[in-house]
Amino acid sequence: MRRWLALALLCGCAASEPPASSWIMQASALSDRADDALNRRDLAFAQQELEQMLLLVEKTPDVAERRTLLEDTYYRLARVELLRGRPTDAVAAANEGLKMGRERDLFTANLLIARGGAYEALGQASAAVADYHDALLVNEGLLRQALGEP
Amino acid sequence: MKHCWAALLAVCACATQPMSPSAGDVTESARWEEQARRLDQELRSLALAAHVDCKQVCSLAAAICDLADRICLAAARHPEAAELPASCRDAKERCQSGRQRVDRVCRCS
Repeated sequence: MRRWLALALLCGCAASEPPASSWIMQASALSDRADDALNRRDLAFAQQELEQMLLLVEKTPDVAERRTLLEDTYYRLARVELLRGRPTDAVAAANEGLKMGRERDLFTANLLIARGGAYEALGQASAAVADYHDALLVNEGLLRQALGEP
Repeated sequence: MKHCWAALLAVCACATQPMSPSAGDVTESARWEEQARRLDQELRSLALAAHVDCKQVCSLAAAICDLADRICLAAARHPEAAELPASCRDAKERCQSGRQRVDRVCRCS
């Protein structure tokens, strides 16, 4: 199935408790519908599905799992807001995601990139560049790690 | 035991004996050293490549360069923001450095 189910299962496997399959399947179905809606450019429906996902994911008991799933959902929401021509709402969605905690991972990098894009749309070049640069540093750290560099 | 020490001392003495090599020897030696250094580098790269997920590192290097492009584009669009050219330079350097390090171990398309 799609990337979100893989992500949820990965988080579930990493957590001490076995994943609650019902909510994962539910969230995954919402995620798929949001993707389909995005492909059809039905942005309002995509947003609706992603907001439903937020409600579901917020109940996840595992803190790390909740953070990554919420960050991914807020990132997608921010992209939808941007596509809908609402950069202020896109910044707000990215901020909500970043509130979950900034880590040196792709979830945080994606949120920074989405917020940077929204700042650019708002004409705030310095804020946009600051976010892009922070995202670049996160990716650089991940590259160092992947190359086995100290 | 005494003999062993004597032999060892003799070997050390020979090894540290000052020599006056000819210019040709020096050139030859430098060439071999350079080749050894290159082979060592190649060996390290091969060993590293065996453990590296090339798909992942290529994608990360591409993401770094994509972000550098975005930064430089924003800097070009907003010349009034004085701090942006420095961010652009820094990002470009990081993009280039990432690409060079990845190129040593992977062939990214």
